[in-house]
Amino acid sequence: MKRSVAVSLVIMGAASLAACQEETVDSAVYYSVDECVSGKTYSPEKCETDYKAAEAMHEKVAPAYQTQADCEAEFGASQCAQATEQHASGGFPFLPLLAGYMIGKQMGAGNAAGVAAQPLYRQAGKNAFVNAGGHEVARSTGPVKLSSNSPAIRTPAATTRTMARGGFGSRSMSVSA
Amino acid sequence: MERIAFEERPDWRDDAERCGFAFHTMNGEPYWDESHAYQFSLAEIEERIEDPTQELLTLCYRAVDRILDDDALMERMAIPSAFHKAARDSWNRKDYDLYGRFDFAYDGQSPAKLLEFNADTPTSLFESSVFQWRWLEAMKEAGHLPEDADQFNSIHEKLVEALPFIAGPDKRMHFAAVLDSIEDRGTVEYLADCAVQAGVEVSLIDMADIGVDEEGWFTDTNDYRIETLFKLYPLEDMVREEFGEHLLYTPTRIIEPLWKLVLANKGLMPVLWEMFPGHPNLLPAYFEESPASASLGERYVRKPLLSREGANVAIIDPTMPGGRLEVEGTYGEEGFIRQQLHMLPKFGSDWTVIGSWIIAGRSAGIGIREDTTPVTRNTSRFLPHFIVD
Repeated sequence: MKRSVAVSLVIMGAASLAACQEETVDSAVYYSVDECVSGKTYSPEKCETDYKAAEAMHEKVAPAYQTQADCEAEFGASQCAQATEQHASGGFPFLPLLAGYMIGKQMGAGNAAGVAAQPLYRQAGKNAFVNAGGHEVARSTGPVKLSSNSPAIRTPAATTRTMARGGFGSRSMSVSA
Repeated sequence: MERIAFEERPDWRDDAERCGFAFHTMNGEPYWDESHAYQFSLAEIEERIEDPTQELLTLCYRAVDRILDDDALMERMAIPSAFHKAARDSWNRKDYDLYGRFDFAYDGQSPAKLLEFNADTPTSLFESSVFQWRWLEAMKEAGHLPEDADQFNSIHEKLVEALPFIAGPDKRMHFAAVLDSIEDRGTVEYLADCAVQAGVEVSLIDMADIGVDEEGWFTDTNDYRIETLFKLYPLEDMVREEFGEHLLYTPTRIIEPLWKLVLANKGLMPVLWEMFPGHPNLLPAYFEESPASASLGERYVRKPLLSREGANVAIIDPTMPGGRLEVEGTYGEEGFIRQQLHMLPKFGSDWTVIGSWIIAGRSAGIGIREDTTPVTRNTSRFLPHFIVD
């Protein structure tokens, strides 16, 4: 057959032609590389690589606060530190400590549900791991199933400071006129 | 290949509007036209269209290697010198591209001839992928076509398959266009729809609203970083605009990537002919200032290096009234190529061109346009096709 088996639309038009597909993504949450390795679900290399990826993202995307006190009010005493690298929002704000990480998952063949490893945080008085967007990923460490549509599954895009907004468009009106 | 008359579905306009296909009629003139459809055999599609598409794409990739290696040639193709290295880097990094469309002159008899490659901002995507597919389903349901009638059109499937890879591990994409244009808007809305179906988080943004932060990331109106930007806007214009300097160092992934500058340029045609002379799917073509262009004689087609939708394309033919037929436009200051005159086939009183789609490097289907003149342009009508053996 030379044609698509099905052609659906989910956001275009007045009536969507089919429902949006949702998939379950298998991942896991760990405090540390050691805990991940002893869990034996993932190889030591995978545990290490994903931790490094989450750690590298942490200083860029962690929830940012102007003062140590503001940060500790949310995440607890001695649970915050000033950024040592420039944060995506600009400057060197106070950030919660990295409390754990979520394992990433490669896209499989014919399966769109891949996710990136991400850093996780624990709010004071709450028994949950949240991502940088504040969405709950898991209650405890170990394997976890997440919906591919859940905001918990991906770190939110970094907000930043726009320095110039001239945009494009001075030369062309449209490509099809 | 045969053109067959069909009865229009009485309610096709309602169906088009339900799907968000807002530009089925443009300026009061029909754009979607189902009064006829083109019939092909499976062997014809596979051997005369699909295989040559895949092969020509391979030749194009070899031409990219050749052109990016030669600053003088890039200069001749009017690619600004400030972008030569950036285009090369983007090719060496293997930056993903999403799509393109070859335009073929094919009459059902002799080999399809490549007229040009719309490698950067091809439109007519939605009507090729979705609306002609729906037409086929409706024709089968009504019994006007047999149950096993097929169509060369897996564009939708291939888009949904490719987009999550292009969106990267963050699985987020911004889709930008000149949103005032309903056709451009419809095209990016459709691509965004495919991305959502593939589990990607999407935002639409107007080209004019794109910003940039301190580190060179492009930003949206909410000051979010744009990690992957699909832009339905000519690369050759972006690199000539003031804001384009940010393309030289931005970490934002741009689709189509900068290496497409060398394919979305009519200068590709003489380069292909020089590298693969006599290839059955290529036409002789030369840069206008090259002495070899005289070998085409008095009848040829003159095309600006950069142009869209047939603008400023001229057929030069002393046997025609006035000696030429030219489409109006504002292109041409960058220079021209000349290509051997190879007229489009005529069906009834219409001239027909076949657009052959490539999605993520794979031949994916066709869309057919008809015009009452021999040069396809933005007002040319779109007609469906089907495969029955």
